[in-house]
Amino acid sequence: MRIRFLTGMGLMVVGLWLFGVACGAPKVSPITLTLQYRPTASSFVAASGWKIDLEQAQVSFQAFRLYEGTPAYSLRTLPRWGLRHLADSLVGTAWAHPGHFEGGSVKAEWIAAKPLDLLGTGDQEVGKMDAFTGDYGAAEFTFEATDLATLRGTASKDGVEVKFACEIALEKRSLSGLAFEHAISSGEKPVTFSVQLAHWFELTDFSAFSQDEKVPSRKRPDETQTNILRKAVLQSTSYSLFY
Amino acid sequence: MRKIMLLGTLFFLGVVGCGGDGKLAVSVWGEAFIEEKIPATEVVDGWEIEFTKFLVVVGGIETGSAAGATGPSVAGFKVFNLREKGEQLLSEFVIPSGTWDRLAYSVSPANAETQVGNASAEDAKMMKDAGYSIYLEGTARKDGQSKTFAWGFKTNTQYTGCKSERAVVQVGATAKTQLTIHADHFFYDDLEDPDAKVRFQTIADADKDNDGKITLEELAAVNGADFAGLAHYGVGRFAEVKDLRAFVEHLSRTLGHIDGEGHCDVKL
Repeated sequence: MRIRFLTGMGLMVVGLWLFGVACGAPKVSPITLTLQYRPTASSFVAASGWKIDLEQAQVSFQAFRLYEGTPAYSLRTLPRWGLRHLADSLVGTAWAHPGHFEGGSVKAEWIAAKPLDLLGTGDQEVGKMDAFTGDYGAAEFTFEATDLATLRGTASKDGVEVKFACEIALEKRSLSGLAFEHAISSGEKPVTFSVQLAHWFELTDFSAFSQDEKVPSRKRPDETQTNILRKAVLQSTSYSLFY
Repeated sequence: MRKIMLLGTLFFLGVVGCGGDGKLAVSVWGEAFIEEKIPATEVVDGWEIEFTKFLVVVGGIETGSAAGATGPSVAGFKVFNLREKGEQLLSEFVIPSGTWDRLAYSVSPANAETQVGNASAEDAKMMKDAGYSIYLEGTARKDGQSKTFAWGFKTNTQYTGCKSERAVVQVGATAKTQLTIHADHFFYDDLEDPDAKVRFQTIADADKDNDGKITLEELAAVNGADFAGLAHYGVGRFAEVKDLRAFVEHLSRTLGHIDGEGHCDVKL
């Protein structure tokens, strides 16, 4: 009799667990979220003291994703045991890489199709994201080595005026872990991001730019200044998110 | 039918883990990269890096499982010199049988309570006096050049969710898991790039007085536009990292792994 009772309890526990698994999780619905870009000022004074008036500012990136988790951080190791890492990648194990975070599931995604014009006025729609309702924790921009930041304008400081043109080749990189902690229940509101263009030029020294041989009216950055600009473009503090 | 149900219940209970206790032995290891050297073949610019001392204060073990179970914790810390050969035992403790595949541990500044692992008493005292969690000394060599370094860090880092593959404890038996310290991370050239490389030339170039000793102060002097202008050393979302010393110090919080290549999360 006691054994029968225990067996019955066991079955009930299992049943309740199955019920919980099937019914306890919050409902998640597919939605479409609008991704939009909010321009910032095209004329500004950078931290370096240079006044900058931009005529053109474009950037390309491969994808924008929103994750359910909040950022954690860990570095991968170099593939000392290549086959093991290969096996891991084949089965899709979520090993952390430098800068990657184990932020859980991708809940919204937009795959970029064209360079984004960063100048202009007013919020502009970038695209539609396939998304799900629920809690969000972080955002990620993904860049590839084929992506570019294109910048043209005039910089002036202490009576010196530099007309510049830059085409910065970016790097393969996921700029992950950008805070985006929101509960989203519908696709009514857009997800908006901005690029802090003044931050891109925070450390740029235009006096180190040199004459462009092809376009004599413009100056271009040397390798060091290109590195400075590239790092600024690929730094999370250059981006702001709103919802 | 009743017998089948009874057997099924007993089998279920046995599998779930009412089987009793075993032990978990947790050791620390710095791999051949610390015990021998990081060979030039592993460093993109051809430097080889040999440690003469690699002290680390490890402890604060917490056990758990991916299924959500919480096991015993071991609070104490010990200071080890991972330059010495072989795995060093940090702790061995009784734990319920089962799979403990989510462990946590910390690398924390030494204090008066820190015990001595395999480090010398002199080194342990130095770590306590300075409040270091990590201290490394070594020499990098390339083409007849030689640069030494002796760096101490006071970072306090908890590695969580470490995905142990070996902490599967059988009743009455001792399972062994290893906290693996990856010294090559100190010399990664990017905080975000999944293809970060082990690189030393930029570190060597920081020796501005050219006395052959690269100090943390010299690393800190590579800052602002000098730091941002480096071809590598991207910081991504870690915008607070504005010089080479901060960069290396940040990397000092990424050394911890488990069972060789097993990963942990780091809450920064």
